Amino acid sequence: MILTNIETVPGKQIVEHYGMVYGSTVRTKHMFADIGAGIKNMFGGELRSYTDLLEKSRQQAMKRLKNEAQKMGANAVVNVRFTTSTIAAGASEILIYGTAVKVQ
Amino acid sequence: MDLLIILALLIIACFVGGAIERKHFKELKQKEFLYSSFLVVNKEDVGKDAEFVGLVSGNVVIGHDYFKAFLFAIRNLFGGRVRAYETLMERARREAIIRAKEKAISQNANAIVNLRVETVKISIGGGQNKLGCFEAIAYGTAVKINKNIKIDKPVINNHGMEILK
Repeated sequence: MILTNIETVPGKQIVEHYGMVYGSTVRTKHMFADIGAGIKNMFGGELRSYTDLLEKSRQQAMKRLKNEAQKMGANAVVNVRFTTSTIAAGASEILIYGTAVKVQ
Repeated sequence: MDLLIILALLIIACFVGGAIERKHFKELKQKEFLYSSFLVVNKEDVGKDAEFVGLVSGNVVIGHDYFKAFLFAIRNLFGGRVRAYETLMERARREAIIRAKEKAISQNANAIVNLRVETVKISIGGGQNKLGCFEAIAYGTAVKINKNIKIDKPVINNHGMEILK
């Protein structure tokens, strides 16, 4: 499965469009990590546990996007966009969407 | 007594946070210099014989310190430019772009096209700490291009060059 965030796949040609596909996930961290991050937040710096959490959630969302595209019979997703939003204290939703296409 | 604790925390946060920030800026400068020949554009225009590598992304979550929050609270009364948070966002954004570049380099690409940068506020936990922290994400399509073909004027961050001067 090829993913790009531009309208084409370099070196290949789009032969068929299948429409939009989405992949999303909502994730939260356990409370002890939250406490740790809260302490770290007093003094600044990177909150590595949160970086990892969001990175992993993004990978999962991407997996779901790929599965959806595969079900449609596509072999690539173009114009992929990432969005993140906080929906509750300590929980974020990651949404990835794009256009499923067939390339040759 | 409460006031004393808050004051002590503020002073510690001022020094520790400041030291972390200076260290981070130094690291950013070095890394940006290291990758300054790597092409990053936010155009979709890829050369004719560009080779597709993959979608790459880099993210970082950065928390503020209590001193910055304190400065912000004061600034918020009068309005205006919040310098304390500007540097925070800048650090997050630059770090995210560097991580995206690192991922692209590890996949043997030599350019990223259509780089998008996004900043989101995320809150940590419940409870009284509602201030939260920020995430910066940079993502784009990594490609291998022929360096002889000029895409356009490259938009390379030149912070690294400042070291040379």
